[in-house]
Amino acid sequence: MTGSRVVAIMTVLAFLAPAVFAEETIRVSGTGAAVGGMKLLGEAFGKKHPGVTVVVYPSLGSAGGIKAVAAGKLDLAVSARRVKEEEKVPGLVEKPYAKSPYIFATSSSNPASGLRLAEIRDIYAGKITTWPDGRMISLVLRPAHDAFTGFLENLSPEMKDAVASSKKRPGMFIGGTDQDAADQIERTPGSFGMTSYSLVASEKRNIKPLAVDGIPPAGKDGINEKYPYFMTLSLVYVKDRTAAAIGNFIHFIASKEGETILRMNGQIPIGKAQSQP
Amino acid sequence: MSGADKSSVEKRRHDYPIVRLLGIIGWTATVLIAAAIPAFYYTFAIRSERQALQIETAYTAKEIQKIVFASPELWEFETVRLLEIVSKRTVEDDEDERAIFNATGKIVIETKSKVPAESIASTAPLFASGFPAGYVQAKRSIRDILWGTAFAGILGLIFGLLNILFFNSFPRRLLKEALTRLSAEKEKTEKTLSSIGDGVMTVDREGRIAYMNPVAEMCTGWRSDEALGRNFKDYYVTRGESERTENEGHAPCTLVSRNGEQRTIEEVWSPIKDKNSVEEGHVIAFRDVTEKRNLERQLQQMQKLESLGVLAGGIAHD
Repeated sequence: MTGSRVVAIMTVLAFLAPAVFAEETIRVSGTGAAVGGMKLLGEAFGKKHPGVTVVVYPSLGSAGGIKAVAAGKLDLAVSARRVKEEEKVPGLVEKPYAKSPYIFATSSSNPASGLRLAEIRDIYAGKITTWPDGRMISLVLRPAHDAFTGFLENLSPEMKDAVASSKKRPGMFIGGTDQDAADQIERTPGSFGMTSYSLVASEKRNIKPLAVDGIPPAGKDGINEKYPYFMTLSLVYVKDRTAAAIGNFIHFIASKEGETILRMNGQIPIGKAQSQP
Repeated sequence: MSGADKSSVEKRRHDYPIVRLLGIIGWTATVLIAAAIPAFYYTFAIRSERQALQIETAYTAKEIQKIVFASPELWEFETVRLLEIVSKRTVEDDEDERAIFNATGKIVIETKSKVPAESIASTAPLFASGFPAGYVQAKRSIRDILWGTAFAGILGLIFGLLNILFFNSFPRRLLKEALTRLSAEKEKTEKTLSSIGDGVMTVDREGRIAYMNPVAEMCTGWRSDEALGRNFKDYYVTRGESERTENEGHAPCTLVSRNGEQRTIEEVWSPIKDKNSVEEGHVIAFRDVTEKRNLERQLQQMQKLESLGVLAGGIAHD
Protein backbone atom coordinates (compact mmCIF):
# COMPACT_ATOMS: atom_id res chain seq x y z
CA MET A 1 0.00 0.00 0.00
CA THR A 2 1.46 3.25 -1.05
CA GLY A 3 1.98 6.02 1.46
CA SER A 4 -0.54 8.25 -0.22
CA ARG A 5 -3.26 5.61 0.06
CA VAL A 6 -2.51 5.16 3.73
CA VAL A 7 -2.86 8.87 4.25
CA ALA A 8 -6.13 8.89 2.31
CA ILE A 9 -7.58 6.02 4.34
CA MET A 10 -6.49 7.60 7.59
CA THR A 11 -8.11 10.88 6.57
CA VAL A 12 -11.40 9.17 5.78
CA LEU A 13 -11.29 7.28 9.06
CA ALA A 14 -10.57 10.46 10.93
CA PHE A 15 -13.80 11.97 9.56
CA LEU A 16 -15.79 8.81 10.18
CA ALA A 17 -14.45 8.03 13.64
CA PRO A 18 -16.73 10.47 15.46
CA ALA A 19 -19.75 8.95 13.76
CA VAL A 20 -18.62 5.43 14.40
CA PHE A 21 -17.34 5.87 17.90
CA ALA A 22 -19.87 8.58 19.00
CA GLU A 23 -20.23 8.63 22.80
CA GLU A 24 -23.87 8.33 23.87
CA THR A 25 -25.02 8.94 27.40
CA ILE A 26 -28.10 7.57 29.03
CA ARG A 27 -29.03 9.57 32.14
CA VAL A 28 -30.82 7.55 34.81
CA SER A 29 -32.05 8.21 38.32
CA GLY A 30 -35.09 7.80 40.53
CA THR A 31 -35.92 5.74 43.58
CA GLY A 32 -33.00 4.82 45.78
CA ALA A 33 -34.36 1.29 45.87
CA ALA A 34 -33.33 0.81 42.25
CA VAL A 35 -30.31 3.04 41.52
CA GLY A 36 -27.90 0.42 42.83
CA GLY A 37 -29.37 -2.18 40.49
CA MET A 38 -29.38 0.34 37.63
CA LYS A 39 -25.66 0.96 38.09
CA LEU A 40 -24.95 -2.74 37.76
CA LEU A 41 -27.24 -3.02 34.72
CA GLY A 42 -25.59 0.07 33.25
CA GLU A 43 -22.10 -1.34 33.67
CA ALA A 44 -23.09 -4.62 32.07
CA PHE A 45 -24.83 -2.81 29.21
CA GLY A 46 -21.84 -0.56 28.70
CA LYS A 47 -19.58 -3.53 28.25
CA LYS A 48 -21.83 -4.81 25.50
CA HIS A 49 -22.27 -1.41 23.90
CA PRO A 50 -19.04 0.52 23.81
CA GLY A 51 -19.72 4.12 23.14
CA VAL A 52 -22.82 4.15 25.31
CA THR A 53 -22.42 5.23 28.87
CA VAL A 54 -25.18 4.77 31.38
CA VAL A 55 -24.82 7.53 33.96
CA VAL A 56 -26.79 6.76 37.10
CA TYR A 57 -27.23 9.87 39.23
CA PRO A 58 -27.72 9.71 42.99
CA SER A 59 -31.25 8.98 44.08
CA LEU A 60 -33.81 11.71 43.40
CA GLY A 61 -36.66 9.63 44.68
CA SER A 62 -39.53 8.38 42.53
CA ALA A 63 -41.15 11.83 42.32
CA GLY A 64 -37.90 13.56 41.45
CA GLY A 65 -37.04 11.03 38.79
CA ILE A 66 -40.45 11.29 37.11
CA LYS A 67 -40.28 15.08 37.23
CA ALA A 68 -36.77 15.13 35.75
CA VAL A 69 -37.81 12.85 32.86
CA ALA A 70 -40.82 15.03 32.15
CA ALA A 71 -38.53 18.07 32.11
CA GLY A 72 -36.04 16.39 29.81
CA LYS A 73 -33.26 16.36 32.41
CA LEU A 74 -33.17 12.57 32.54
CA ASP A 75 -33.63 9.95 29.86
CA LEU A 76 -34.90 7.22 32.14
CA ALA A 77 -36.35 7.24 35.63
CA VAL A 78 -37.01 4.35 37.96
CA SER A 79 -40.02 4.69 40.19
CA ALA A 80 -41.23 2.67 43.17
CA ARG A 81 -44.80 3.93 42.77
CA ARG A 82 -47.36 4.67 40.10
CA VAL A 83 -47.04 7.88 38.14
CA LYS A 84 -49.69 10.36 39.31
CA GLU A 85 -52.07 12.06 36.91
CA GLU A 86 -50.57 15.46 37.55
CA GLU A 87 -47.09 14.13 36.75
CA LYS A 88 -48.01 12.84 33.28
CA VAL A 89 -46.79 14.63 30.17
CA PRO A 90 -47.54 13.70 26.54
CA GLY A 91 -45.64 10.57 25.57
CA LEU A 92 -44.75 9.56 29.14
CA VAL A 93 -44.49 5.79 29.40
CA GLU A 94 -44.55 3.81 32.64
CA LYS A 95 -43.26 0.24 32.33
CA PRO A 96 -43.01 -2.07 35.37
CA TYR A 97 -39.93 -4.19 35.13
CA ALA A 98 -39.33 -5.70 38.58
CA LYS A 99 -40.55 -5.98 42.13
CA SER A 100 -38.69 -6.04 45.41
CA PRO A 101 -39.68 -6.41 49.05
CA TYR A 102 -40.26 -3.47 51.35
CA ILE A 103 -38.23 -4.54 54.34
CA PHE A 104 -38.05 -3.62 57.99
CA ALA A 105 -34.37 -3.75 58.79
CA THR A 106 -31.78 -3.37 61.49
CA SER A 107 -28.00 -3.35 61.65
CA SER A 108 -26.26 -6.70 61.09
CA SER A 109 -24.93 -6.65 64.64
CA ASN A 110 -28.44 -6.81 66.08
CA PRO A 111 -29.34 -10.36 67.17
CA ALA A 112 -33.08 -9.75 66.54
CA SER A 113 -34.44 -11.64 63.53
CA GLY A 114 -38.07 -10.63 63.27
CA LEU A 115 -41.02 -8.70 64.66
CA ARG A 116 -44.77 -8.90 64.61
CA LEU A 117 -46.59 -6.17 62.73
CA ALA A 118 -48.22 -5.06 65.98
CA GLU A 119 -44.77 -4.66 67.53
CA ILE A 120 -43.63 -2.63 64.54
CA ARG A 121 -46.64 -0.38 65.05
CA ASP A 122 -45.79 0.01 68.74
CA ILE A 123 -42.19 0.87 67.90
CA TYR A 124 -43.38 3.76 65.73
CA ALA A 125 -45.88 4.78 68.41
CA GLY A 126 -43.08 4.90 70.97
CA LYS A 127 -44.62 2.19 73.13
CA ILE A 128 -41.74 -0.25 72.53
CA THR A 129 -38.39 1.47 72.92
CA THR A 130 -35.90 -1.37 73.44
CA TRP A 131 -34.91 -4.60 71.74
CA PRO A 132 -35.29 -7.88 73.63
CA ASP A 133 -31.64 -7.64 74.66
CA GLY A 134 -32.31 -4.27 76.30
CA ARG A 135 -30.57 -2.13 73.70
CA MET A 136 -32.43 1.07 72.76
CA ILE A 137 -34.27 1.08 69.45
CA SER A 138 -32.87 3.86 67.23
CA LEU A 139 -35.78 4.50 64.93
CA VAL A 140 -34.87 5.76 61.45
CA LEU A 141 -37.76 7.61 59.86
CA ARG A 142 -38.50 8.48 56.25
CA PRO A 143 -39.72 11.83 54.92
CA ALA A 144 -43.42 12.60 55.06
CA HIS A 145 -43.94 12.38 51.30
CA ASP A 146 -41.72 9.37 50.76
CA ALA A 147 -42.99 6.14 49.17
CA PHE A 148 -41.97 4.16 52.28
CA THR A 149 -43.97 6.46 54.56
CA GLY A 150 -46.91 6.13 52.19
CA PHE A 151 -46.58 2.34 52.31
CA LEU A 152 -46.61 2.35 56.13
CA GLU A 153 -49.58 4.71 56.34
CA ASN A 154 -51.56 2.47 54.02
CA LEU A 155 -51.03 -0.63 56.19
CA SER A 156 -53.67 0.45 58.70
CA PRO A 157 -55.12 3.57 60.35
CA GLU A 158 -53.36 2.57 63.58
CA MET A 159 -50.04 2.39 61.76
CA LYS A 160 -50.74 5.79 60.18
CA ASP A 161 -51.32 7.30 63.63
CA ALA A 162 -48.21 5.61 64.97
CA VAL A 163 -46.07 7.01 62.14
CA ALA A 164 -47.54 10.49 62.69
CA SER A 165 -46.72 10.34 66.40
CA SER A 166 -43.16 9.20 65.68
CA LYS A 167 -42.52 12.37 63.67
CA LYS A 168 -43.53 14.54 66.59
CA ARG A 169 -40.89 13.10 68.91
CA PRO A 170 -37.88 15.41 69.23
CA GLY A 171 -34.46 14.41 67.92
CA MET A 172 -35.68 11.80 65.46
CA PHE A 173 -33.46 10.99 62.49
CA ILE A 174 -35.14 11.34 59.12
CA GLY A 175 -33.31 9.79 56.18
CA GLY A 176 -33.78 12.23 53.30
CA THR A 177 -33.01 9.63 50.65
CA ASP A 178 -33.06 5.83 50.55
CA GLN A 179 -29.29 5.87 50.80
CA ASP A 180 -29.30 8.23 53.80
CA ALA A 181 -31.71 5.96 55.65
CA ALA A 182 -29.71 2.86 54.72
CA ASP A 183 -26.50 4.51 55.92
CA GLN A 184 -28.07 5.24 59.29
CA ILE A 185 -29.54 1.75 59.68
CA GLU A 186 -26.22 0.20 58.70
CA ARG A 187 -24.00 2.07 61.12
CA THR A 188 -26.24 2.44 64.17
CA PRO A 189 -26.33 -0.44 66.59
CA GLY A 190 -29.93 -1.10 67.58
CA SER A 191 -31.29 0.70 64.54
CA PHE A 192 -34.72 0.03 63.06
CA GLY A 193 -36.15 1.41 59.86
CA MET A 194 -37.56 0.76 56.43
CA THR A 195 -35.61 0.21 53.25
CA SER A 196 -35.78 -2.04 50.18
CA TYR A 197 -34.27 -5.43 49.68
CA SER A 198 -33.04 -4.33 46.24
CA LEU A 199 -30.97 -1.55 47.78
CA VAL A 200 -29.47 -3.80 50.44
CA ALA A 201 -28.57 -6.46 47.87
CA SER A 202 -27.31 -4.24 45.03
CA GLU A 203 -25.24 -2.01 47.31
CA LYS A 204 -24.03 -4.91 49.48
CA ARG A 205 -25.17 -3.20 52.66
CA ASN A 206 -24.46 -4.54 56.12
CA ILE A 207 -28.15 -4.51 56.95
CA LYS A 208 -30.33 -7.32 58.28
CA PRO A 209 -33.87 -7.64 56.87
CA LEU A 210 -36.34 -8.66 59.57
CA ALA A 211 -39.13 -11.19 59.23
CA VAL A 212 -42.62 -9.82 59.72
CA ASP A 213 -45.10 -12.05 61.51
CA GLY A 214 -42.68 -14.90 60.99
CA ILE A 215 -42.30 -14.43 57.22
CA PRO A 216 -38.80 -13.35 56.12
CA PRO A 217 -38.43 -11.27 52.92
CA ALA A 218 -35.60 -13.41 51.61
CA GLY A 219 -33.52 -16.45 52.37
CA LYS A 220 -30.70 -18.51 50.96
CA ASP A 221 -32.78 -19.21 47.85
CA GLY A 222 -33.44 -15.58 47.20
CA ILE A 223 -36.56 -13.51 47.64
CA ASN A 224 -39.43 -15.16 49.49
CA GLU A 225 -42.49 -14.60 47.30
CA LYS A 226 -44.74 -15.40 50.26
CA TYR A 227 -43.57 -12.23 51.94
CA PRO A 228 -46.59 -9.85 51.77
CA TYR A 229 -44.97 -6.47 51.14
CA PHE A 230 -43.56 -5.76 47.69
CA MET A 231 -42.88 -2.60 45.73
CA THR A 232 -43.18 -2.53 41.97
CA LEU A 233 -40.31 -0.87 40.17
CA SER A 234 -41.13 0.83 36.88
CA LEU A 235 -39.14 2.44 34.13
CA VAL A 236 -40.44 5.89 33.21
CA TYR A 237 -39.47 7.64 29.99
CA VAL A 238 -40.90 9.86 27.28
CA LYS A 239 -41.45 7.82 24.16
CA ASP A 240 -40.81 10.48 21.54
CA ARG A 241 -37.55 11.54 23.10
CA THR A 242 -36.12 8.08 23.47
CA ALA A 243 -33.04 7.50 21.39
CA ALA A 244 -32.08 4.11 20.07
CA ALA A 245 -29.52 3.59 22.82
CA ILE A 246 -32.17 4.04 25.46
CA GLY A 247 -34.40 1.56 23.73
CA ASN A 248 -31.52 -0.88 23.66
CA PHE A 249 -30.93 -0.40 27.35
CA ILE A 250 -34.57 -1.01 28.17
CA HIS A 251 -34.43 -4.13 26.04
CA PHE A 252 -31.29 -5.20 27.87
CA ILE A 253 -33.04 -4.90 31.24
CA ALA A 254 -35.66 -7.33 30.02
CA SER A 255 -33.11 -9.70 28.57
CA LYS A 256 -31.91 -12.86 30.26
CA GLU A 257 -28.72 -11.18 31.33
CA GLY A 258 -30.63 -8.23 32.68
CA GLU A 259 -33.04 -10.45 34.55
CA THR A 260 -30.14 -12.40 36.03
CA ILE A 261 -28.59 -9.18 37.30
CA LEU A 262 -31.93 -8.19 38.77
CA ARG A 263 -32.40 -11.52 40.54
CA MET A 264 -28.90 -11.40 41.97
CA ASN A 265 -29.61 -7.97 43.36
CA GLY A 266 -32.81 -8.40 45.30
CA GLN A 267 -35.38 -7.97 42.54
CA ILE A 268 -37.84 -10.25 40.79
CA PRO A 269 -38.20 -9.41 37.08
CA ILE A 270 -41.76 -8.81 35.88
CA GLY A 271 -42.18 -10.53 32.49
CA LYS A 272 -40.46 -9.09 29.41
CA ALA A 273 -40.23 -5.36 28.82
CA GLN A 274 -40.89 -4.25 25.26
CA SER A 275 -37.71 -4.13 23.27
CA GLN A 276 -38.75 -1.07 21.36
CA PRO A 277 -39.87 2.03 23.23
CA MET B 1 -69.74 84.35 98.89
CA SER B 2 -72.79 85.93 97.13
CA GLY B 3 -74.46 84.38 94.10
CA ALA B 4 -72.96 86.97 91.77
CA ASP B 5 -69.56 86.38 93.28
CA LYS B 6 -69.97 82.63 92.89
CA SER B 7 -70.85 82.83 89.22
CA SER B 8 -67.98 85.22 88.68
CA VAL B 9 -65.63 82.82 90.39
CA GLU B 10 -67.02 79.92 88.33
CA LYS B 11 -66.42 81.85 85.15
CA ARG B 12 -62.91 82.61 86.20
CA ARG B 13 -62.30 78.94 87.00
CA HIS B 14 -62.30 78.09 83.32
CA ASP B 15 -60.30 81.09 82.17
CA TYR B 16 -56.88 80.34 83.67
CA PRO B 17 -54.29 79.93 80.91
CA ILE B 18 -52.02 77.83 83.11
CA VAL B 19 -54.84 75.43 83.82
CA ARG B 20 -55.71 75.28 80.13
CA LEU B 21 -52.05 74.64 79.37
CA LEU B 22 -51.95 71.85 81.91
CA GLY B 23 -55.04 70.40 80.29
CA ILE B 24 -53.41 70.54 76.85
CA ILE B 25 -50.31 68.85 78.24
CA GLY B 26 -52.51 66.21 79.85
CA TRP B 27 -54.38 65.46 76.63
CA THR B 28 -51.17 65.47 74.62
CA ALA B 29 -49.65 62.99 77.04
CA THR B 30 -52.80 60.88 76.80
CA VAL B 31 -52.67 60.78 73.02
CA LEU B 32 -48.96 59.98 73.10
CA ILE B 33 -49.45 57.19 75.63
CA ALA B 34 -52.42 55.77 73.72
CA ALA B 35 -50.44 55.83 70.46
CA ALA B 36 -47.00 54.96 71.81
CA ILE B 37 -47.89 51.69 73.54
CA PRO B 38 -49.31 49.97 70.44
CA ALA B 39 -46.70 51.61 68.21
CA PHE B 40 -43.85 50.29 70.34
CA TYR B 41 -45.40 46.87 70.58
CA TYR B 42 -45.96 46.64 66.82
CA THR B 43 -42.48 47.92 65.99
CA PHE B 44 -40.66 45.55 68.29
CA ALA B 45 -42.89 42.57 67.57
CA ILE B 46 -42.51 42.97 63.80
CA ARG B 47 -38.78 43.44 64.15
CA SER B 48 -38.45 40.34 66.29
CA GLU B 49 -40.61 38.27 63.94
CA ARG B 50 -38.70 39.50 60.91
CA GLN B 51 -35.37 38.60 62.49
CA ALA B 52 -36.63 35.15 63.44
CA LEU B 53 -37.94 34.59 59.93
CA GLN B 54 -34.65 35.72 58.39
CA ILE B 55 -32.74 33.28 60.57
CA GLU B 56 -35.10 30.43 59.71
CA THR B 57 -34.97 31.22 56.01
CA ALA B 58 -31.18 31.35 56.07
CA TYR B 59 -31.08 28.00 57.87
CA THR B 60 -33.49 26.46 55.38
CA ALA B 61 -31.38 27.79 52.51
CA LYS B 62 -28.29 26.30 54.12
CA GLU B 63 -29.95 22.87 54.25
CA ILE B 64 -31.04 23.14 50.64
CA GLN B 65 -27.61 24.39 49.64
CA LYS B 66 -26.21 20.96 50.55
CA ILE B 67 -28.53 19.37 48.01
CA VAL B 68 -27.67 21.99 45.39
CA PHE B 69 -23.98 21.40 46.00
CA ALA B 70 -24.32 17.63 45.73
CA SER B 71 -26.41 17.76 42.55
CA PRO B 72 -26.17 21.13 40.79
CA GLU B 73 -27.95 19.94 37.61
CA LEU B 74 -30.73 17.93 39.23
CA TRP B 75 -31.26 19.50 42.65
CA GLU B 76 -34.64 20.89 41.57
CA PHE B 77 -35.97 17.33 41.23
CA GLU B 78 -35.13 16.24 44.77
CA THR B 79 -38.80 16.71 45.53
CA VAL B 80 -39.07 14.59 48.66
CA ARG B 81 -35.99 15.98 50.36
CA LEU B 82 -36.78 19.57 49.47
CA LEU B 83 -40.34 19.24 50.70
CA GLU B 84 -39.09 17.69 53.92
CA ILE B 85 -36.76 20.66 54.50
CA VAL B 86 -39.27 23.42 53.76
CA SER B 87 -41.88 21.65 55.89
CA LYS B 88 -39.76 22.09 59.01
CA ARG B 89 -41.20 25.16 60.68
CA THR B 90 -41.41 26.63 64.14
CA VAL B 91 -45.01 27.83 63.78
CA GLU B 92 -48.35 26.33 62.78
CA ASP B 93 -48.84 25.51 59.10
CA ASP B 94 -51.42 28.21 58.47
CA GLU B 95 -49.04 30.89 59.76
CA ASP B 96 -46.15 30.07 57.46
CA GLU B 97 -45.63 29.58 53.74
CA ARG B 98 -42.39 28.46 52.06
CA ALA B 99 -41.33 28.12 48.46
CA ILE B 100 -38.16 27.36 46.57
CA PHE B 101 -37.47 29.05 43.25
CA ASN B 102 -34.84 28.14 40.67
CA ALA B 103 -32.50 30.54 38.92
CA THR B 104 -35.17 31.54 36.37
CA GLY B 105 -37.69 32.36 39.08
CA LYS B 106 -39.81 29.28 38.47
CA ILE B 107 -41.26 27.57 41.52
CA VAL B 108 -39.48 24.32 42.31
CA ILE B 109 -41.54 23.36 45.29
CA GLU B 110 -43.87 25.04 47.77
CA THR B 111 -45.77 24.18 50.91
CA LYS B 112 -49.51 23.75 50.64
CA SER B 113 -50.26 26.26 53.41
CA LYS B 114 -50.99 29.82 52.32
CA VAL B 115 -50.69 32.79 54.64
CA PRO B 116 -53.12 35.72 54.60
CA ALA B 117 -52.25 39.05 53.02
CA GLU B 118 -51.06 40.42 56.36
CA SER B 119 -47.66 38.81 56.35
CA ILE B 120 -43.93 39.48 56.21
CA ALA B 121 -41.52 37.78 53.83
CA SER B 122 -37.87 36.83 53.79
CA THR B 123 -35.68 35.38 51.05
CA ALA B 124 -32.31 33.68 51.04
CA PRO B 125 -30.31 32.93 47.90
CA LEU B 126 -29.05 29.57 46.71
CA PHE B 127 -25.81 29.14 44.83
CA ALA B 128 -24.21 26.39 42.79
CA SER B 129 -20.45 26.80 43.00
CA GLY B 130 -20.81 30.54 43.33
CA PHE B 131 -23.44 30.99 40.61
CA PRO B 132 -27.04 31.83 41.45
CA ALA B 133 -29.13 28.68 41.51
CA GLY B 134 -32.34 30.10 42.95
CA TYR B 135 -33.70 31.28 46.25
CA VAL B 136 -35.86 30.29 49.18
CA GLN B 137 -38.78 32.47 50.13
CA ALA B 138 -40.64 32.30 53.42
CA LYS B 139 -43.76 34.22 54.37
CA ARG B 140 -45.20 34.45 57.83
CA SER B 141 -48.56 35.72 58.97
CA ILE B 142 -48.56 38.73 61.30
CA ARG B 143 -52.19 38.42 62.29
CA ASP B 144 -51.20 37.54 65.84
CA ILE B 145 -49.07 40.67 65.98
CA LEU B 146 -51.94 42.78 64.67
CA TRP B 147 -54.23 41.35 67.32
CA GLY B 148 -51.56 42.04 69.91
CA THR B 149 -51.28 45.60 68.63
CA ALA B 150 -55.01 46.07 68.96
CA PHE B 151 -54.84 44.79 72.52
CA ALA B 152 -51.90 47.09 73.23
CA GLY B 153 -53.97 49.93 71.78
CA ILE B 154 -56.73 49.18 74.26
CA LEU B 155 -54.18 49.16 77.06
CA GLY B 156 -52.80 52.44 75.77
CA LEU B 157 -56.27 53.97 75.82
CA ILE B 158 -56.80 52.77 79.38
CA PHE B 159 -53.47 54.20 80.53
CA GLY B 160 -54.17 57.38 78.63
CA LEU B 161 -57.53 57.77 80.32
CA LEU B 162 -55.92 57.11 83.69
CA ASN B 163 -53.43 59.82 82.83
CA ILE B 164 -56.23 62.25 82.04
CA LEU B 165 -58.02 61.39 85.27
CA PHE B 166 -54.81 61.96 87.17
CA PHE B 167 -54.23 65.34 85.60
CA ASN B 168 -57.83 66.41 86.11
CA SER B 169 -58.31 65.06 89.57
CA PHE B 170 -55.10 66.10 91.23
CA PRO B 171 -52.65 68.76 90.07
CA ARG B 172 -55.02 70.49 87.70
CA ARG B 173 -57.87 70.48 90.16
CA LEU B 174 -55.62 71.69 92.98
CA LEU B 175 -54.24 74.40 90.75
CA LYS B 176 -57.71 75.43 89.67
CA GLU B 177 -58.92 75.66 93.25
CA ALA B 178 -55.85 77.62 94.36
CA LEU B 179 -56.19 80.03 91.47
CA THR B 180 -59.89 80.39 92.12
CA ARG B 181 -59.28 81.20 95.79
CA LEU B 182 -56.59 83.64 94.81
CA SER B 183 -58.85 85.27 92.29
CA ALA B 184 -61.63 85.57 94.85
CA GLU B 185 -59.27 87.18 97.34
CA LYS B 186 -58.01 89.57 94.73
CA GLU B 187 -61.52 90.51 93.77
CA LYS B 188 -62.46 91.07 97.39
CA THR B 189 -59.45 93.27 97.92
CA GLU B 190 -60.23 95.24 94.80
CA LYS B 191 -63.81 95.79 95.92
CA THR B 192 -62.64 96.94 99.31
CA LEU B 193 -60.19 99.36 97.82
CA SER B 194 -62.81 100.58 95.40
CA SER B 195 -65.24 101.23 98.21
CA ILE B 196 -63.05 103.41 100.41
CA GLY B 197 -63.20 107.21 100.06
CA ASP B 198 -59.46 107.76 99.73
CA GLY B 199 -57.37 107.47 96.64
CA VAL B 200 -55.08 104.41 96.63
CA MET B 201 -52.29 103.69 94.21
CA THR B 202 -49.60 101.02 94.29
CA VAL B 203 -46.31 101.38 92.50
CA ASP B 204 -43.51 98.86 92.08
CA ARG B 205 -39.90 99.45 92.96
CA GLU B 206 -39.28 101.03 89.55
CA GLY B 207 -42.10 103.46 90.16
CA ARG B 208 -44.51 101.86 87.71
CA ILE B 209 -48.17 102.06 88.61
CA ALA B 210 -49.58 98.65 89.51
CA TYR B 211 -52.99 99.68 90.80
CA MET B 212 -55.28 102.74 91.01
CA ASN B 213 -58.64 102.73 92.74
CA PRO B 214 -61.59 104.71 91.37
CA VAL B 215 -60.97 107.66 93.74
CA ALA B 216 -57.37 107.88 92.48
CA GLU B 217 -58.65 107.78 88.92
CA MET B 218 -61.10 110.57 89.64
CA CYS B 219 -58.53 112.78 91.41
CA THR B 220 -55.72 112.30 88.88
CA GLY B 221 -58.02 112.35 85.87
CA TRP B 222 -56.41 109.16 84.45
CA ARG B 223 -58.10 105.78 84.02
CA SER B 224 -56.19 102.85 85.45
CA ASP B 225 -55.90 101.14 82.05
CA GLU B 226 -54.16 104.27 80.77
CA ALA B 227 -51.76 104.54 83.67
CA LEU B 228 -50.97 100.94 84.60
CA GLY B 229 -47.38 100.02 83.99
CA ARG B 230 -46.33 103.67 83.47
CA ASN B 231 -44.20 105.80 85.72
CA PHE B 232 -46.36 107.27 88.49
CA LYS B 233 -44.72 110.71 88.25
CA ASP B 234 -46.37 111.21 84.87
CA TYR B 235 -49.82 110.52 86.27
CA TYR B 236 -49.59 111.56 89.95
CA VAL B 237 -48.36 115.15 89.68
CA THR B 238 -47.95 116.97 93.00
CA ARG B 239 -46.57 120.33 94.13
CA GLY B 240 -45.35 121.59 97.44
CA GLU B 241 -44.36 118.12 98.77
CA SER B 242 -42.66 117.80 102.08
CA GLU B 243 -40.10 115.14 102.74
CA ARG B 244 -41.74 111.78 102.59
CA THR B 245 -41.33 109.46 105.51
CA GLU B 246 -42.68 106.00 105.74
CA ASN B 247 -46.11 105.43 107.20
CA GLU B 248 -46.41 108.99 108.38
CA GLY B 249 -48.76 111.70 107.26
CA HIS B 250 -47.36 114.51 105.17
CA ALA B 251 -48.15 118.21 105.14
CA PRO B 252 -50.78 118.84 102.53
CA CYS B 253 -49.69 119.25 98.97
CA THR B 254 -51.35 120.04 95.71
CA LEU B 255 -52.37 117.31 93.24
CA VAL B 256 -52.66 118.52 89.70
CA SER B 257 -55.06 116.42 87.65
CA ARG B 258 -54.91 115.65 83.98
CA ASN B 259 -57.08 118.66 83.08
CA GLY B 260 -55.12 121.02 85.33
CA GLU B 261 -57.56 120.92 88.20
CA GLN B 262 -55.78 121.34 91.49
CA ARG B 263 -56.72 119.59 94.69
CA THR B 264 -55.23 119.80 98.12
CA ILE B 265 -54.42 116.33 99.34
CA GLU B 266 -52.89 114.66 102.33
CA GLU B 267 -50.91 111.59 101.33
CA VAL B 268 -49.35 108.63 103.17
CA TRP B 269 -46.63 106.54 101.56
CA SER B 270 -46.32 102.98 102.86
CA PRO B 271 -43.64 100.50 101.61
CA ILE B 272 -44.55 97.05 100.34
CA LYS B 273 -41.99 94.51 101.51
CA ASP B 274 -41.64 90.79 100.80
CA LYS B 275 -41.05 88.14 103.46
CA ASN B 276 -37.35 88.98 103.44
CA SER B 277 -38.11 92.64 104.09
CA VAL B 278 -36.95 93.60 100.62
CA GLU B 279 -38.87 96.59 99.30
CA GLU B 280 -41.00 95.73 96.30
CA GLY B 281 -42.87 99.02 95.93
CA HIS B 282 -45.14 101.50 97.70
CA VAL B 283 -48.77 102.12 98.49
CA ILE B 284 -49.75 105.74 98.13
CA ALA B 285 -52.93 106.64 99.96
CA PHE B 286 -54.19 110.20 99.70
CA ARG B 287 -57.23 112.14 100.77
CA ASP B 288 -58.71 115.12 99.03
CA VAL B 289 -58.85 117.83 101.72
CA THR B 290 -59.64 120.71 99.37
CA GLU B 291 -63.14 121.24 100.80
CA LYS B 292 -61.87 120.87 104.28
CA ARG B 293 -59.21 123.51 103.69
CA ASN B 294 -61.71 125.81 102.10
CA LEU B 295 -64.03 125.48 105.08
CA GLU B 296 -61.17 126.12 107.47
CA ARG B 297 -60.26 129.25 105.60
CA GLN B 298 -63.88 130.42 105.65
CA LEU B 299 -64.10 129.76 109.36
CA GLN B 300 -60.93 131.71 109.97
CA GLN B 301 -62.30 134.52 107.87
CA MET B 302 -65.53 134.56 109.84
CA GLN B 303 -63.65 134.49 113.09
CA LYS B 304 -61.64 137.49 111.94
CA LEU B 305 -64.72 139.37 110.94
CA GLU B 306 -66.37 138.51 114.22
CA SER B 307 -63.37 139.81 116.13
CA LEU B 308 -63.47 143.06 114.11
CA GLY B 309 -67.19 143.38 114.81
CA VAL B 310 -66.72 143.12 118.56
CA LEU B 311 -63.95 145.67 118.46
CA ALA B 312 -66.03 148.10 116.43
CA GLY B 313 -68.95 147.68 118.82
CA GLY B 314 -66.69 148.46 121.78
CA ILE B 315 -65.36 151.66 120.23
CA ALA B 316 -68.83 152.86 119.34
CA HIS B 317 -70.01 152.35 122.86
CA ASP B 318 -67.22 154.39 124.11
